Amino acid sequence: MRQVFLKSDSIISPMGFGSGTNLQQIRLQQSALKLQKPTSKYPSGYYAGILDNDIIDHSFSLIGNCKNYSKLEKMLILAINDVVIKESIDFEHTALVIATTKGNIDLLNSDAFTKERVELWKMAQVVADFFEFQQKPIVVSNACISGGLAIKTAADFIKYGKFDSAIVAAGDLVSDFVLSGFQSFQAMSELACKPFDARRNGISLGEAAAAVYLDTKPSEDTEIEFIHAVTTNDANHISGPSRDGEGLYQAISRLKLFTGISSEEIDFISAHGTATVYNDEMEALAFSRSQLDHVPLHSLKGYLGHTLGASALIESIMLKHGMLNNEMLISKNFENLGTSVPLNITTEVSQKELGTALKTASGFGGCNIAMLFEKTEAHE
Amino acid sequence: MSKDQHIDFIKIQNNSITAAEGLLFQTEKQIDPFKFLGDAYKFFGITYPKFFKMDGLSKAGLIAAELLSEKVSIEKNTGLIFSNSSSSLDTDLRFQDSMKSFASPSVFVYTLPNIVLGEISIRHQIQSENAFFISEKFDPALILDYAEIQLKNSACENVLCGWLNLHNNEYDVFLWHVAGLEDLQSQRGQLLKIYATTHE
Amino acid sequence: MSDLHTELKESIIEQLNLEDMQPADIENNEALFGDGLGLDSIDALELIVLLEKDYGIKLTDPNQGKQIFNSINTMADFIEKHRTK
Repeated sequence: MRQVFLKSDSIISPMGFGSGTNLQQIRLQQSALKLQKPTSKYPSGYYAGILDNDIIDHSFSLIGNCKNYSKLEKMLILAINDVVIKESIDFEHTALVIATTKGNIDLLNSDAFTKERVELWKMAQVVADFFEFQQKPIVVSNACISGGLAIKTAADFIKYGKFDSAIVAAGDLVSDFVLSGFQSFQAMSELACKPFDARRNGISLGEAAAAVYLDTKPSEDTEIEFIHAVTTNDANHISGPSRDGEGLYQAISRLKLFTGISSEEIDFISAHGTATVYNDEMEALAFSRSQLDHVPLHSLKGYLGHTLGASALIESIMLKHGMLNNEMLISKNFENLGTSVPLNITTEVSQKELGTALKTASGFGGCNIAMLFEKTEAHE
Repeated sequence: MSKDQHIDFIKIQNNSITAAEGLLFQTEKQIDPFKFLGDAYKFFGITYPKFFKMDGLSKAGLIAAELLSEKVSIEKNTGLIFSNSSSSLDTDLRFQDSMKSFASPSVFVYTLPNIVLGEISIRHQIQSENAFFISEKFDPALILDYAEIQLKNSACENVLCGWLNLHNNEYDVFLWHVAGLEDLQSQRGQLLKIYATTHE
Repeated sequence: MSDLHTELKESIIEQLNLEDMQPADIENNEALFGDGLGLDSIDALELIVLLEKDYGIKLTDPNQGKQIFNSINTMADFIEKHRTK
């Protein structure tokens, strides 16, 4: 079976452009989440991580015509471009896999582009055409596991030889559409979200795009390998997670079974941690049932907010860097444990040999994903 | 020339529901798609209490999966690999309409294409692999290639595959069942033909 | 049965897409959630919207809903006391 490695990556977020910048901001305990100006719909404002159009255009104008692309397309292109300049990409054969939940949903009301542009396949094609990818882009839209499922899709296809390398990109916006939706769900936190905390009371939304290059060629340096990923469905409720964490527990169990990894071998967990009361409790139960309650764990939602279809990709990229640096990033906005079973939440910067790590995510529609990453030490 | 392999499928299009053995249900032309799906639900005697609360994609997917489940095994380890072109755009427009007055949570929850996978999973107690892809046109190779890997990895024992599109009041639904790896290989090259011939 | 009770039943049937149900099918004391009418958490959110839209009542704490949405009677009582339209 071919190995799949996570090569160059990039994150375009309100905290900065590039994975290194975002990582540095996280180390400095900065956050993209800011109190946004009150509007008639949100009289007391709301916390969200929103990227300024001018900042995007400032960078984008160096590589393309800002008028021809939507906000999300520009973010995705900037993320992919950052990867492209670091790697020698064969655009004839390299696949492009794009994850998004809502794509150009902000264009639903707009005449700025043709109607077709709100279609996710069209948005993906526009991004692919910018770089002249010759393969049709593959689009994954599977709620909040999309970014992780896109890595799995690309890696599965690479392992079985459908293609040799892929760029996986993901992005989503903070739009009126999703704000209104989560508000109608009473799921928005009044303050910046507090994953796994006793006083958590909902999500904060964030917008971001990210990209990573996957290929099969081991390098001489230490690097991170994608081992395997499993998805499951709760078969319980379309908007609420299963109360006992059964779906996520099944995903982790099947992942362990397939890879032969035991709970003791997992050094770190990058959790979903949206900071809704039910999600975090469900995750805690699933980790506890998997005998992973002692494993150091963080949620990065306190930095970037919930970036929906991009979140699992961004968090996998951050996990990769954490593993390479043997660095456990702090789970921001966590003070007191707020789950019914114990968890080992990372509250201070600490070094630990991180050889094997788990990434999980769950989403509407009852979907869950569990992904395993491993460090391969430098060769020769 | 060898005889084409039998494929278990359900096709919902142009106010009719067809299967491999022929027409199962039909109404007069020009009927509203929601009325059509509601009539079909009642005609087949399906009982799923949430049916009338669901969006069009979920209604169509649920009916098609129900009819297939009468012929093939759809159980805990059935993978669900679906695809469409317009994502949840039809419901997105409805939600956007509700935003003008009071945003509707029960519409918002259906503004993701994969919700139908959740509904089918609840109905048939499926806890296996889920994936929803978006492509401009029906691309059976993408779905079968992904299904093949999941079967080879024993991530699921069989797969319910689907092309499930609803846009501009037109629905185009084609669900089929993959019993295993051998079945999957025999389906290659046939699906587009079946999908097209049942179009009429 | 008051006009408000009937009005509530009609709007619940419409808003929650309770197909083939008539106002007379819902008892005033019947549990709306769980074993009664079988409503779920998304329906509860939709009822919060209904309170605001039709009666100008904004629920700030979703947990309040549990008692208010117990039955048509409890909903009607709450609306009588707090309605602004």
